[in-house]
Amino acid sequence: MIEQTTSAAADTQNVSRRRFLGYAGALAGAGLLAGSLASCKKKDDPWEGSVDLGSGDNGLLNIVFIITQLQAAFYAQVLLTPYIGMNAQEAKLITDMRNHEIAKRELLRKVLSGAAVADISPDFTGIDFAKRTAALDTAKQLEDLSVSNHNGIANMLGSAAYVVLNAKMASVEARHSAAIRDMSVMGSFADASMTADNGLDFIRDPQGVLSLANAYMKDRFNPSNLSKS
Amino acid sequence: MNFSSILSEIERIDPEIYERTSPRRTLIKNWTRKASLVALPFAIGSLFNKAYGKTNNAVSDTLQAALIFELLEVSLYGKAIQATKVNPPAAQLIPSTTGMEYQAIEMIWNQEQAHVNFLASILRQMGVTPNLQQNFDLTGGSGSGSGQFAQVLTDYGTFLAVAQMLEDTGVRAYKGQMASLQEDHDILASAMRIHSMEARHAAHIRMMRSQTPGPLADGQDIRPWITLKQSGINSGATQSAYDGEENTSQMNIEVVNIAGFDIPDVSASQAFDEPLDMTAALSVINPFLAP
Repeated sequence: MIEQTTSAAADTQNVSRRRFLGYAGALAGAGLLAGSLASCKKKDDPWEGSVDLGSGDNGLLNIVFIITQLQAAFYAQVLLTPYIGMNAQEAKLITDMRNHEIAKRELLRKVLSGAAVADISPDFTGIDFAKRTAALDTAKQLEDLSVSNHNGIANMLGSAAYVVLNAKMASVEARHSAAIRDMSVMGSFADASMTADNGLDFIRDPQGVLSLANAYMKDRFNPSNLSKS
Repeated sequence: MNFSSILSEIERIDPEIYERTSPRRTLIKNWTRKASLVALPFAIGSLFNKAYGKTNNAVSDTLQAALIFELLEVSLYGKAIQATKVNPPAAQLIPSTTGMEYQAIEMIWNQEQAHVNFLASILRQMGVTPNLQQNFDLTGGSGSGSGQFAQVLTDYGTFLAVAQMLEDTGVRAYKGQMASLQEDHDILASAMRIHSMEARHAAHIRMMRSQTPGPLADGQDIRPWITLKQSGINSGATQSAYDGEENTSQMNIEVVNIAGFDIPDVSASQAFDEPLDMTAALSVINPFLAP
């Protein structure tokens, strides 16, 4: 599995940019196909063609599972096709973050067991991985999204063990966000808007999280059963 | 009898129930429409637990303890800013008053002050007087002024090491209270949002420390996340803040090399932060409290 590779430099030499662009093109083609199929659907069910997240705690953990899949895939790609000027310290921290996301993803897959949604199809077309600002901006958006999701689902979870597990992951995502933000602009580890908002971090509900996550994947998920336990 | 009529029955007998469970009234009303039959026993159980089981004292005690952590951090950063502003350049604690290090400490200080104000306002809403009168000994000397970190306001590396330990411990302390706040939806959400801010602070202080060798540097490679139970601080006084962080098993599932992926123990421990219970968290900061 490519994600296991720890040497970003070795990967760059092995995987040509052309091959990556080919991969991206295939994804774009799949998107067009999915789009044309979607246009045939009936109008009365807004969730037709979307995947049910499930209800209660499983549905909420599935959102974490989806965001984590996105992040693991994103960092794997960043390490496969490093942005120009990535230094050794940055490569080390991004490798750490990729490993954390894989660990999280696989743990959630086991915890969810039969209730886990299928693997998603990330869509990173339009992101120029060669550009440092593009790569770090996307990483920042995904990490901030992840933090806001963990903060948003905490009081919806029923199981106390999941409340703790969710918090264990939330603070590591916040550490990631701070690290990525500092790589991008040193000192931007937290947002000025957070200072103004009682020093509180971002929070989003599942619908808000999914609507932002949609930009990075082909899949569409249906959160309408989450409120059922 | 359906759930709606059970609720109206309780409301008739005990008109205060919505106030006692407030601010979850809207949520309760929503449940009566949305909840499946299977969910009802659990929903009713947790509602009663909140209203009649757990007292508000437990929650306000938690918030008072959180307030001590926030006040300690406010004191540390406020004194550090002072020890930078009032001194001539050669004696400034933080390298300069115009650099990004100073701006970062100022931003963290502002956010910790916001946390103090926010926690105090929640306590007042609960009818509890926030305890804002706490004396601190930033050297960790319990009031002697000559603790393990006697140079905390004169040596930049020592200051950052103390800041790192307090931020990391703050993250662990909040995390340790999340399950007990579960029935208080608004407070849990706010605690989570403060908790992840503390993690952002910890990560940035760690970035600053990785670039700042000092007497407390122990040669460890300091990263924004916690590796095993390494403090990265050359002082035995800080180890209890990190004990337990080496855990690599979550929900009774081993994370090292999970599902055949190459995940070493270092990564497995970093990927999840570990909670500290209130007693352990308070014992970490106890040397910093003064009579």
